[in-house]
Order: sequence, then structure tokens, then C-alpha cells
Amino acid sequence: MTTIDVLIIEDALTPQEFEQALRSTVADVVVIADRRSTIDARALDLFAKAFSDEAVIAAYCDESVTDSRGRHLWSSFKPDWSPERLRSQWYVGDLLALRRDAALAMIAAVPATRRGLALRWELLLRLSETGGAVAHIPETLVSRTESDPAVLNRYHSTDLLECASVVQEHCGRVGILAQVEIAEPNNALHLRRTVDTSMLVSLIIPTRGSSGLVWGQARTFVIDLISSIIELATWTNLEFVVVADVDTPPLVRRALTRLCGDRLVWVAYDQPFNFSDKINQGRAAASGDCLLLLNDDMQVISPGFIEELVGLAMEPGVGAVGAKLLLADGRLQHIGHRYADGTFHVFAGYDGDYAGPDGMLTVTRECIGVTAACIAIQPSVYDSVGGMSLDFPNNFNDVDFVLGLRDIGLRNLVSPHATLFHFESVTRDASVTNVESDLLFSRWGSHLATDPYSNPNLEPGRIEWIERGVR
Amino acid sequence: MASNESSAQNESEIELLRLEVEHLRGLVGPSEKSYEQLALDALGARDAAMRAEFDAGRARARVVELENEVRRWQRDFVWFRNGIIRRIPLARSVLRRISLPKTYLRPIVVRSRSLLAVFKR
Repeated sequence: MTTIDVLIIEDALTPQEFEQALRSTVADVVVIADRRSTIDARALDLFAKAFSDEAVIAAYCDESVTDSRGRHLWSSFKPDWSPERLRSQWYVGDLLALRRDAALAMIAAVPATRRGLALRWELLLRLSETGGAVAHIPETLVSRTESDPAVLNRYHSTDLLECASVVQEHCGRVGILAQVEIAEPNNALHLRRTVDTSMLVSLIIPTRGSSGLVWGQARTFVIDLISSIIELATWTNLEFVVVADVDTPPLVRRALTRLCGDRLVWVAYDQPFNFSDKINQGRAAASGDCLLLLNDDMQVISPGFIEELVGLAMEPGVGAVGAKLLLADGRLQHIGHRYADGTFHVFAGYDGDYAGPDGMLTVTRECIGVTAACIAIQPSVYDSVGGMSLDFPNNFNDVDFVLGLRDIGLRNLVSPHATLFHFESVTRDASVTNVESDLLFSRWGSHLATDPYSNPNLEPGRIEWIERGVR
Repeated sequence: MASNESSAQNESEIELLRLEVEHLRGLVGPSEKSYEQLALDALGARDAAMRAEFDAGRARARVVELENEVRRWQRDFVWFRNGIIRRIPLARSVLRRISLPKTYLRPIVVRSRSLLAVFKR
């Protein structure tokens, strides 16, 4: 039977005092709480249940935010364990349960200057480095008042600087080469990965050289995309693998040859349209150290988008890395998928600057899937799942692909620091066939119902985070 | 003398031709200068179109947010109507059937009202 003790800690508590507190109890698990929080009566039972699994070394729960009179305002529903998000944001909240032995084993290594949030952040990062599991209990077991500065991540800048140094040291310990910066104005951190820019990146761009009208001007999409990459992107060691249908106008090829020179790899595609096959053929022709799949109807916004995506994709354990994509009118088109009674682009159609619940759209985070319109991935990882399935010629090829990556234990990430325009469906027929959706559900039914980066308390079948109604 | 005269004639002819070229350019199409101006105008028009598109996008995004809010309120309203309002007549009929003196009924009624007040909040 698991025994639990609750420690109410002050912001000024030092690691030495915390160690004394840990030694003063014989409980298996300690729950660290804030004086300003109200803990639900079920909390200790549920934590005890979570810690009955010996692999679990830490646990956290969802939170409720109330006004000064104790009336419920909103809930903060958290994803399951998301290490990348934790490096950018303290998303786990105020109620944190730790296995006492594991905490005691590493508290001596915590610098004496750590206090409050920085201390908790350091404790959880160090515990996660030991390889133990971190559990998420999808129940609102703690409530905080709206005036609490931790709500909405309104941290003091000096605290955030301390937290940035906590994450910086963590990166050093786990071998992530990155510079940790404070990403204003959302009080989150941004890990700017240090990447070897001499590495060759292969951009795989399927196209048929189509044109359209965007912002009142005619564009030939693939030419304008590659022009924007050449003009704006700070990464220069690029290979442009253009997989073009045979009916692509010859003018497009001439223009691309003039733009890219010998960096152009032209793959003529003479089969009936199959997006997956085109990408696979592009992969076969690519010789880069990292692949970047791009739709042709895009335009670069953030010049460092390749560094951001490649930096994440080249880390071990990472599958596909997606970007933040905006429609021509500046609204969100894509910033990660959500699979809950369907497949959705989260917060699609919201304002491009929308921060999302708990600022989730402002930080690099794990997500169940990303769109194939923009994916950075290592070639070996791409090959490990056999590339994209030819069974999905038009739709859901990305869903099938990213779920395949998760199935072999890889994490998919999305970064808001890599931003592009995506003039979605200007160049293709977006209608979904029943055959494709039936096949997807027959292949991945259980995975599509349990999105670990969503939350069971959220309404399924929606693009946004809305608390479930009373059941 | 004759050469001076012919060179003056040539110059005036050149001047006339230059004027004619200007006139023709004005008639048949833009000059290099006006072409540059036209290109600048086109860029300005594109930027204005982008700004207008972004303004429309912000408005559309607000509409999407509000639509989602409305759907949530509708869902909560349906739950409230089906779960609470429609059960009130049943509760009333149950209360009526209980043949208790009014003095005993009052606390029950008061309690159910305060319960409703909680739900309304």
C-alpha cells in the first residue's frame, strides 16, 4: 500500500529545507502543494493509485481556476507527459506528487539558489532524466484563484530567468545542444537548437506547377515557394527535390532551374495522382541528411524555420516535426493535430496569434500528429515506417504516417517558432472519400480515440479545447 | 557655313523626333519611368490586399471563436433544459402527491429553489 504525505511549500523554500522536509516523513510519496491551492478530497486516493505502478516517479493532475469567491471559472486540462513542452513551459501546475526515494536521491544535486517554481521545475526535470514514468491524472484535483500569478503563466521575469537556467542545465545533462531564451510576450521558453548548418537538407516538394490568385496576385505556387525559401531562409545548404506531374508546364521547370541551379533534383511523376507515392519517390531521389516535406502552396514567414524544424527532427526519439501554418488571411491552418472522434487541426480558423489554453500554441510541444504539408524528419526514421502508405492517395496519408511513427515509440512535435503561409487546398481537391476514412479507422481505430496530448475531459469531435458537458 | 546649317537642322529634327517619341510613348504605353511607378503601385496594391485579407481574417477568426462559444452554450442549455427544467413538473407532481401540511413542505420547496439558484449561477 502506498503512503502519501502532503508538503505545503513556500516560494522561498530552499533545496536544503525541502530535503529536510522529505526526510521528516516516511511516506512513499510526497505531494507538493502551494498554500494558495485548494486540494480535492479525492486527490490522495488517486495519486496513491497512480503510484501503485512502481515505474511512476512523479504525477500531476488537471486544475480548476476559481474567482475570489470560490466560483469555478475554467479548468486547465493538461496533456499526458510532454517532456518537450516542459522544457518550454511549466505546464504541470501546482499539485505535483513525487516518489520520495527518487526525490531524495537527487535533491543534493539541486543548486542551493533554486526557489519556488525553479525548484519544482528542476526537481521534475531531474526525475524525468532518470527514465521513470511521469503520470497524468485527468481529474481536476486542485483549484487556484484567478489572482494567483501562476495562473496564465504570469511569472516574474527574474523567476523566469532562473527557470531558463534550470532548463539550460537540463539540456546540458541530456545532451540537447540548445540556447534557452525567454519567448516574449507569453512567458514561455524557447530552446533554440544548435544545428550543424553544413548539413544538407532535402526539401521534397510535390507539384503540378499550378497557379492561383493569392492576395490579389497571380502566383505559380512552386516557383513562389522556392523563391521565398531562397530569399528568406537562413539555411542555405539545400537540395530542392521537386516531384512534378508530367503535365507541369515546361516554363515552371525552366524557372526552377534558373532559381535553384544544380540544387534542383527534378523527379518526373507520370502516374495517376497519389500524394504518398509522390513523396516516396521524392524521398528515393533525396540525398540530404534531413528531409523536409513541403506542399507547393506555401510561403516562408520565419526565416529560421529550417533550423527550428531540423534541430528538433535530428534529436533521438523524435518522429515528425511540424510547423505553424497560417492561411492567406493570417488565421491558423495548422499547429498540430488532435484525434478525438475524428481527426482535427487544433484551433484551425482561430487568429494566427491565438495563444490557446494555457499558452499551449506558443510553445514547442508534443502532439499526436502533424500535417504532411510541412514535416521535417530524418531519412532513417522516414524509412523505418516504410514511408507513406500508398493506400491513402489523397487524404489521411499524414495521419497514417504519424501514427506509424508513434507506434514505433517516437514522439511527434510541432513548433510555433517555424511559421509559414499555407494556401490550403488552393491547389488540390480536399474532399474526403469514405474508402480512405474507413481504412484509416480500421487501421488505427484505438489510436484515434485516445489522444494523449488532448484530455478525456475535453469535448471530442472538436477542433478546440472545450470542457465536456455533464454526462 | 553650310555644315553649321545642316547640323542645326539635324538637331532640330532630333528634337522633333524626341518629342514625337515622348508623344507616342504617352499614347501607346508606359515609359520606363511609369513602368517603375506601375510596379511600385502593384506592390502597394498587393500589400493593401494583404492587409485587407488579414483584417478580414481577424474578423473571421472572431466569428469562429464566437460560433464555438454559441455551440457550447447551446449544449449547456440543452443539458439544463433536459436535465433540470423538464424535471421540475415531475418534481412538483411528486410534491403535490405528498399529503403533508404546508408547514412541512416549505423547507423542501425552499431547498429546491436554492438548488435552482445554484444552477442558474
